[in-house]
Amino acid sequence: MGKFSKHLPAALKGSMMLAPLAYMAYLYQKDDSQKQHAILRNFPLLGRVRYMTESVGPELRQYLFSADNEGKPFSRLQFENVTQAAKYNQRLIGFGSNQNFKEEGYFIRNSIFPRLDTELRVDNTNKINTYKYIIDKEGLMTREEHREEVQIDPYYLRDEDAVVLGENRVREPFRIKGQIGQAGMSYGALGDHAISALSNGLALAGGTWMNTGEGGLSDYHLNGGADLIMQIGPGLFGVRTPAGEFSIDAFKEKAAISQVKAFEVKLAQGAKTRGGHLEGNKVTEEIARIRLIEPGKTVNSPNRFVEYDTFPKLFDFIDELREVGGKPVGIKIVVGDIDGLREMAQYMKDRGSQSGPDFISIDGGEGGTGATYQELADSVGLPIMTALPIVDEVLRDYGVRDQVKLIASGKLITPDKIAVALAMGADLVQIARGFMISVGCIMAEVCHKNTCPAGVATTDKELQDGLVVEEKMYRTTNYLVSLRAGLYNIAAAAGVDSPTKLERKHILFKDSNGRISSVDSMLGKMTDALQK
Amino acid sequence: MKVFVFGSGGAIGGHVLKQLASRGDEALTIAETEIRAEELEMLGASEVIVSAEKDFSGLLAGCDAVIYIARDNPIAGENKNMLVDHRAAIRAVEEAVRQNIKRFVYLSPVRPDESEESKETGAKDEPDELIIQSGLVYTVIRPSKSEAKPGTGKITAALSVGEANGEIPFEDVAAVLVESITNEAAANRAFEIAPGTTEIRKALQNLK
Repeated sequence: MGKFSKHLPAALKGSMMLAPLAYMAYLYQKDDSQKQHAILRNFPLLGRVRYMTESVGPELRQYLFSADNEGKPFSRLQFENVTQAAKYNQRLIGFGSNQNFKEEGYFIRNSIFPRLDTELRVDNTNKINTYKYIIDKEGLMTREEHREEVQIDPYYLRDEDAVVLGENRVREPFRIKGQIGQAGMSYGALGDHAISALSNGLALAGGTWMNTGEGGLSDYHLNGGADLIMQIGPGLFGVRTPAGEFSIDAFKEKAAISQVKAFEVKLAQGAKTRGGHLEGNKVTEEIARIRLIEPGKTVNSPNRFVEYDTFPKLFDFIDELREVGGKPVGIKIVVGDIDGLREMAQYMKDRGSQSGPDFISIDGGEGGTGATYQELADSVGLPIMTALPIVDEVLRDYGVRDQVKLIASGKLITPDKIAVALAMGADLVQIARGFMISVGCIMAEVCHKNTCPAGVATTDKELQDGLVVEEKMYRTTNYLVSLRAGLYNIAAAAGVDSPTKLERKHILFKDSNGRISSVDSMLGKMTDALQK
Repeated sequence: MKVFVFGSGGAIGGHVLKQLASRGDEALTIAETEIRAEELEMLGASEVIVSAEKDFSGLLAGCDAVIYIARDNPIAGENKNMLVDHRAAIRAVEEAVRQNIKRFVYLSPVRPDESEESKETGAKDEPDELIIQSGLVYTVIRPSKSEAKPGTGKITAALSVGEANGEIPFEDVAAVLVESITNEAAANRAFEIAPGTTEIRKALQNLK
């Protein structure tokens, strides 16, 4: 600066001092006279510090001040577990766990004689060619790393262990050689780059599925070649007439696509037991075409299928879809109304094994969404670890558990959480936010604003430029495969040869005083409350 | 052709079974557990004998060739070459001589760039010499560091490859083993392989 300023006219030099002072004086005067903020009127200028720190607080906490187990919805460590698996295909940790073992939670019961690798029923016959990063040198400010093509074990289930949706019930059952899939994420909520990366990455990993979310079937869901479960929400996007009624012809068209393996009728999701809202300015020509709605017009979906308000009507609808489409049809629910569940189970029993849903997706109250209201997200619906065993138990009570497969979701983004859900009765698990993190989500929590800094939950072209499909798709593959590998790890420790064999007896609940309870006794405590 | 594969349980062995099956060869092998045997059959093995026995007599009856992968013991853990069971290799050679096996292809646990001292650890290099002296039509292959990477179909092969750059994919090592059973240029030869730019078949022809 010295040499440069020596040649500057003195007036300019003076202005370098004066300009900021003048600006501060201007702000002082402005704050003092405005009527909106009390703090600024009382403490002009100084009060601004409060607003500044408030706005950068989340980032500061996330990067600097949060401890490893802090941070919601996912802690720093949980987030890191996903990104490490995705980018470096690396799951090892050093020194030991950072969990707080005093806290209550479910633990997996390990066997005294675990299974050897050679005693696991796994199918690693078809390797996956993917890319991972390898760190060459790590400094304080720099990390030198390079991407390398590698061949990894896929950790598929054996053919005879594969989970089948609609077995002996539909013309085209859906066989899945893995227990983990991607939960519903719509095009529109996520951008085309993110959806394409997910679709390609899941297709490469195989043994999985991708749920389209209620926003209809987009080209981006299709372009990677992943097996799809098309979701149908109360807005009926993609399967509706211009007047907003269900269109069986539009449904037939979708069912004829071989990549579409099943349909999920969404009655509710954990974070919003309400209908979706789509601003008119987001309804582009393309989105309008996919969803079969008018471009530029705001759409509010009702929070229930208007026509289907009883189990008989709902089951008739499901049976019609299955008959016409020839593919499995399931429902997605949030658990709260246990009497309603019993009514459903009774009805399933009455209508026999060829009627009703082929699968039930249970979303925990902790499930995510692009946009919802605080009151619905925080306190409506039971969390998955309570909801799941209740559904499993009710279906068993009525002798209809064999008619359906259960798919669990709700923050199940690491193998241990997934294993607990499987042991509680889930046949499959689906994940949305874990996969978002795999393609670059940094949990900025602005999914509802179209300003996602990672280019994931936005359709903004410039922001999406940051997300390179050919790069992120491999992270989705690596993340998913590492989850499956982790499940086999846990199965071996629990003494079973496949994660499909995890049962209630393999887990225990430990409370904060160290007392343990089995799932059965936990269930007793959960449902006793309802009898009274 | 009927090929018996020892050491099919590891990463290279899996590729060997697959490649033999896709060539239309019959691949026989041995596994420690039923569960493992099922997977080897899924990979393309036509017959899997489940046995933890140390006796190989009669095992190779009716076979035309043997592929012996010495470096790849799944129980020992990935690439733990120190724990190579060289006695098992010696027993396999004896059985091959008894059964008049026409070709014996041996993947040595000894790496090209290993020091003499390391080669001798646990008599790791002993079977190499034994095979060469056995009177069998042999191929002894010493690969440079190998890794789980997609195959390229290309290698460098020479009596001595010197200091090798990078890792050779398991898939390519397997392809060299499978190619060596029928490639005359590989008969009665001990050589080293490393990542390279020559097609595998051509690289072996060039050994002549």
